[in-house]
Amino acid sequence: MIVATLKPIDEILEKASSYRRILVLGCGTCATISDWGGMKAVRQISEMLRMARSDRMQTHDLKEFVVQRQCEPAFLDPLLNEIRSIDAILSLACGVGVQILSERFPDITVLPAADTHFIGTISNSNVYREYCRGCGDCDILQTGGVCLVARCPKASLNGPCGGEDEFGMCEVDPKERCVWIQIAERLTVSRREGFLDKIVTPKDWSRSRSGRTMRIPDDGITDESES
Amino acid sequence: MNPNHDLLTHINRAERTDIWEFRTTVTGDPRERIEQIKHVTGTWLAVKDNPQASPTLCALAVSALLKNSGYNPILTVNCRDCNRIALQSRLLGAMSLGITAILIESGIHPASGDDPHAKSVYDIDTVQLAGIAVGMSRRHQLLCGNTIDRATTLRVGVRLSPFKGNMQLQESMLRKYRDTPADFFVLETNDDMARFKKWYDSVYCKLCLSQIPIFICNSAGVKPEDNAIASQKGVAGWYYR
Ligand code: SF4
Ligand code: SF4
Repeated sequence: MIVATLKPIDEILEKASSYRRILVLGCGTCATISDWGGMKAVRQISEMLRMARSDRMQTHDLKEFVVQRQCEPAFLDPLLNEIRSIDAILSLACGVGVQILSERFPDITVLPAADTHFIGTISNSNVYREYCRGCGDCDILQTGGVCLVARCPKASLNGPCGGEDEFGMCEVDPKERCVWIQIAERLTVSRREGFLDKIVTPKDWSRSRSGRTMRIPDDGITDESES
Repeated sequence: MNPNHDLLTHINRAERTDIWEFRTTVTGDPRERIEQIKHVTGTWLAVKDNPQASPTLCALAVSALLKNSGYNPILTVNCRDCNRIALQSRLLGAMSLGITAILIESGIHPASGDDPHAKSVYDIDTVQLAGIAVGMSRRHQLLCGNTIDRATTLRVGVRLSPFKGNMQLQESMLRKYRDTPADFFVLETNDDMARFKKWYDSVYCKLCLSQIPIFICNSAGVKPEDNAIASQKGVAGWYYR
């Protein structure tokens, strides 16, 4: 999932304060799993907007809606009715959702209500961990299915950086174990320790640069035209 | 290469070879700092590369100044601040300025440094950088395959922390550096003689690394004569912080 978190409420209220007619728009996929993109969250944010406006004696016209995915243009059709006579959409979605909304409705201001962090997963007790950085060149077989690009702050592909402490905790985030220790454990369990000794050559980053467009040919087989 | 300026020749000839860490500062004129170390003779000076992840005077410029002042600099190069293009460019610069040894580090992450808003690079890691430096120096080749005109010898050193974390991983890193092959190691030992000796006999020699000289990092307050580690076989000398 895309991991994002809601911006501080004061920042959201401040951003929204210049607009009177606002559609508060949730997203039913990643943001809902994170517990702030579904209808419940949409209602809470709307209520806060209402209260803030009432405090300032401002009039308001708030609508509430949730689409299944803001990041897919096809899922935005149900909004065509909702966005009539709207000044702004307050988007409870990731940065992709915000951009797709802006593309689809260029005459309406789209206010991002969230900060998007990474592709990852939720562990227990509200801990989110980054798992993938979309490098376009997935090679996690030899690290026991653990991605160093996303999970090691130094992307140290050949082994621990030397900054881990006596107990194997990461130099950069001492609350996290060095990801290499996890890799060693995985490879040992699966009797593939041999991978640990294999020198990994410099990574091909050409498939992970910013501004990529991937063109899938009609046969759908290759993505060689990625740029 | 002038034998006086080759670290390995120096190690082979001298009873002991020491490295002093040379920390650059935020200054446009490091001559005063260089003047302060004029009593230091016969040792090598490891010029730090933006230590604490904050900008200081360019390590390559300082290394060149030290070289011109009659010292033997070791250029420290980290993987944090530059991508492979800039790192190779820096090594070419080092060669052209007569610098003959480099010390590779991963570099403290910006999150722990003085400028936590900086973006780190980590395009390549320390093993890869060591391999690239060896390729440039010995095979006269850049990573992209282009040939280097008039490459000179660079002795390539790496830092090791063999007693930290997972021993199996530390061994595998050693193997990789051996196969690179690195020319020297700077070792964090925490002055633990018993542990160092055990590691030296059971790991270092087992991996046929005894030919690769080791420099022992001293920790604050420990004098070399207090510590028996430095007299161990394979230990070239001390690395003074
Ligand atoms: S190697 Fe690349 S594609 Fe695979 S998980 Fe890591 S970042 Fe994602
Ligand atoms: S301690 Fe481990 S996980 Fe942390 S930066 Fe170093 S190698 Fe990566």
